Amino acid sequence: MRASGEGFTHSTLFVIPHLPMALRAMGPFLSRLRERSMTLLPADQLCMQLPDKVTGLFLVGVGIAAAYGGSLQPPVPGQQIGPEVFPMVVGIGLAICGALIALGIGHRFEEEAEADLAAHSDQPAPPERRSKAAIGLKVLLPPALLLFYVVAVDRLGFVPTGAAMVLATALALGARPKLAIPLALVTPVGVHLVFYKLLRVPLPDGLLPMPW
Amino acid sequence: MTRLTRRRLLGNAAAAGALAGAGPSLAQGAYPSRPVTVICPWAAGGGTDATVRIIASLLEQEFKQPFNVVNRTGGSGVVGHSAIASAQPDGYTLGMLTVEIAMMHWQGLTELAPGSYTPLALMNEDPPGIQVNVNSPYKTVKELADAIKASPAGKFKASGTGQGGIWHLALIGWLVAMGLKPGHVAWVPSNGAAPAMQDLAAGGLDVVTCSVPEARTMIEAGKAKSLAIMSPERNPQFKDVPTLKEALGIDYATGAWRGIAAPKGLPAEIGQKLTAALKKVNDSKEFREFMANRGFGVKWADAAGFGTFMAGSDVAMGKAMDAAGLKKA
Amino acid sequence: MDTFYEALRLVAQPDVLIAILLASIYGLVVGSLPGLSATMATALLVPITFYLSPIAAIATIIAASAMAIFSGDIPGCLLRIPGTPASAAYTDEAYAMTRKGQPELALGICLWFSAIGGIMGTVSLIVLAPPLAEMALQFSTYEYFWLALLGLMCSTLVARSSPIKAIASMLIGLLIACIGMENPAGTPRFTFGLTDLLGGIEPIPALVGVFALSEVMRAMATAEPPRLPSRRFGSILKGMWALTLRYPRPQVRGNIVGIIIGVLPGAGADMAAWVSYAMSKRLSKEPEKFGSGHPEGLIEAGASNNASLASGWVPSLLFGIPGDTITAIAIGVLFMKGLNPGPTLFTDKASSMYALYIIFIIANILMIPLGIAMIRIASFVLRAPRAAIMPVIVLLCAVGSFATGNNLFLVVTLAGFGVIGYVMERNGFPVAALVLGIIMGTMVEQNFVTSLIKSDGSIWPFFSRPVAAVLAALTFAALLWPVFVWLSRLRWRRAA
Repeated sequence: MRASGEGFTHSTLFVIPHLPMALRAMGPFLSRLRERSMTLLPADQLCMQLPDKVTGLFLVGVGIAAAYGGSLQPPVPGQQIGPEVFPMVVGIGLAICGALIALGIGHRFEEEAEADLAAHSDQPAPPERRSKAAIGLKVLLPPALLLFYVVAVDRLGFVPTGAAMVLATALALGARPKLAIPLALVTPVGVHLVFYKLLRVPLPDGLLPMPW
Repeated sequence: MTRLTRRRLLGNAAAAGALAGAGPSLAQGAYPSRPVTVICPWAAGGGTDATVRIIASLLEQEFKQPFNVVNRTGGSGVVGHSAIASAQPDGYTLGMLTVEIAMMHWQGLTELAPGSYTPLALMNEDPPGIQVNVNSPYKTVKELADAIKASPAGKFKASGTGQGGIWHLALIGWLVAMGLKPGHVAWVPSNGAAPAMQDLAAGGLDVVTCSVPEARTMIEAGKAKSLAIMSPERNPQFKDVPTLKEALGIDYATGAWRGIAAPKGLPAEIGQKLTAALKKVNDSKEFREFMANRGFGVKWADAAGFGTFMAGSDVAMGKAMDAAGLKKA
Repeated sequence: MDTFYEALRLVAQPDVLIAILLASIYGLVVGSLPGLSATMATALLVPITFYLSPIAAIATIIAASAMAIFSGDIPGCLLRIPGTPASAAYTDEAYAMTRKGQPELALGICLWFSAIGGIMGTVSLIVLAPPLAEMALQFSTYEYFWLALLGLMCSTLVARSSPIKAIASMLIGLLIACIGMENPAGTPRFTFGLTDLLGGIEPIPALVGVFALSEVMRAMATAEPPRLPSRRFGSILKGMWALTLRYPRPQVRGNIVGIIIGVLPGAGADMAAWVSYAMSKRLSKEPEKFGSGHPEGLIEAGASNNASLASGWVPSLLFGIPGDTITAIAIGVLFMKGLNPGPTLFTDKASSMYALYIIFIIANILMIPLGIAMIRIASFVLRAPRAAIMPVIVLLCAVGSFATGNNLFLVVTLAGFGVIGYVMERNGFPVAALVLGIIMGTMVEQNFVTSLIKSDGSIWPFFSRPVAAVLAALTFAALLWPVFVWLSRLRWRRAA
């Protein structure tokens, strides 16, 4: 959520299709998250859980940036209310909410909600086996695989790309090769059959065109 | 410039893919020897989608090869239009161009313009009508025009699409042709013609300038009426609605159009084959019946004619957008 | 009566019956796959309807959309991944029931009350179409503005965590909806020069990202949850009749709210589910049980979203104005098949209209046996290891997002929202409120700005029109509710 586009120019942005565009758009965000997950965390928490002060102040920043970005919008000729009004209202509202969160107002509700949730919440992974950084990277694996899909699918084709994604996800979740490899071979072919053949979604053939 | 670079690279990537996948088939037999993709830059279920699908199915019968319609949406039409322009010009990727291609580049949204394609055929044009609520005090377009002229600027509210959309430009063109300022009637941006027609029926608007087929259901439901049509001839579906020229003596006509085109650099013989087939489609009973059923206007122009038509539309849209203050320098 | 027999004859054609059956199965499967929504199920059917007879074409759309809205509840119950936005409001509730060991009950409620809601919606379509349509036509932008705002407020009423965080999530959603040029001014806003952002952020990949992808990301960081005791699912409809009798009021309310919201163009099943769930929680005698696996809210919201689906056809059929994204696609198909919407459809083509009603009823009845079969098949995900389910979900998310516009940027959107959803969830920001903000953002802004343009900048019409005034009062009540609760709790704590 950046509210203005400075920092990179169009010419650098569009040099190579898809990949850098995607990565550059995501890059600052991802790296910021990664930094946080490694530095700011108390040892016993799952990665990316931040104190309310941090998230609150971050929202104040986003809200102000959005309101400022909105105020830069050019007015529309012949209209009294232009495109700047709505982002400014929402941005200011967000900044106020952020400030309230940073001050810890309303936090009590969460403690109660957490008590409710305890009955059916997730168990954190045993901490001794993996470092925080490793967990942080693993958490980012699914979105990273999707970016890999964006870059690779036109060249490799749907089936090989899909197989790589399924294999990587399964192995990361601790599947034995006995499960992961057949899964990686069967799933993309099945998905391709249904979406390409029956629903006519144009999935690229790439290196491995399917017989249908 | 930067966008161009990206497009070229995209094109190259696509070309590499096409060569890898389809190398052998290029050599064999006459066109088309394998399925053809027809790109629709708008979502499934809309008017453009329906038109492109009927054309594709009739081309399929003509050539005995599948013509698959692919909806490439996003970027308010820019994404689909660039996908057509950046495809390999081998005749296996065609697409439908809509009037937006003559508008978006003036706003600086894309560098694509009508000249970025090989035109094949113009298939449809829908002129806007001037619709009012059925209880409106204005019974004819003359009365409405006089009332608009006599009122202070901004008193009348009109809608039909978003700010700077085709029907907004139609209104501006009409106002300018009457010697008024483009902002004399306030434009209320809407999310398409259907919500605008609903607000007209709810009494929130004075005028809606959308195409007659878009207004048709509300007119038939007795909630709205059409006072005039901004085209050179009357619509055979609505014989009673006069043209602007007949009613006001104003020679102003515009419209939203759709046509089939290929990427730039299509081999001439493939282009001629496709244009000839599209002529057959345009003349076919199925196409005519389908278009009449939806109230869409059938229009025909061959490759050269479509090119000239688009160039004319491009200039006209540029002028109207300039008047509306929407044109980027 | 002759038209009725004629309609029966139209429906009894083998091609129509086969179309209904296949489309139902298709809708169930697509709706239940995480990453694929009911709208997408319908959109992907359009090319296929092209080759069908008119009645069969409409039948596929009706059957597939009804089934998909129900089966969107299935992954919500079993994996905490709502299949469609309409299920997002009560996913946590349904999942809580599953973790309590009552997956049959949760799914049974969704199925049974979906079918009842669908039938009630159809009845409203048959009996009340003209007056309902007239009501919908009375709604101008002022009323829509309040309605949209009220829908947004529901996200804070539903939230179990801090209402301030819920509002913040919703505002982030609204900011995301600002992206692109689909705003009243028609100028590119917050697009950072990217062509792909001109059309704005597509809600479907965003939804799939924050719910499904972030769930996969959570799986990466957490140990496998304790496996539920492996056993065959019990009777799915067991106890439904008792629940029907026990909660008459939530049901009726859910149906009525669903019908009304469905009829209003632009506000569809998603909003119906939210408003109903929020209402159920506020008006319940046991609001403290909500969120811990309590049937009441599920009953009301499950009935509501299916009721709205049927009544959404009212403005579409009478005026050609889509009630939601699904009917927007359906209108295209109606036109393509020569069944042009409009009052003449009810007079000149009355038999086709009756056929349409019959198809609605058949689809909602067929939903029960097919739904039971689907639930039984789907229940294997509770037994399958997580390492086998999650990879398939990642792939389906990618394909599903891509298929909404055949544009790879949608997959980038999906990845981005997976990260956003994960971070938000970890920090107690309800992602469902974010999704609601994204879905409703354009509607709020559009109606706010156009209302001000129409009134020449005066805010008086927002309060002076009668329906607008009522909606405004409700909105303020919803807005002030968290403050009120907070203050009263503060006092209660001090006293204690």
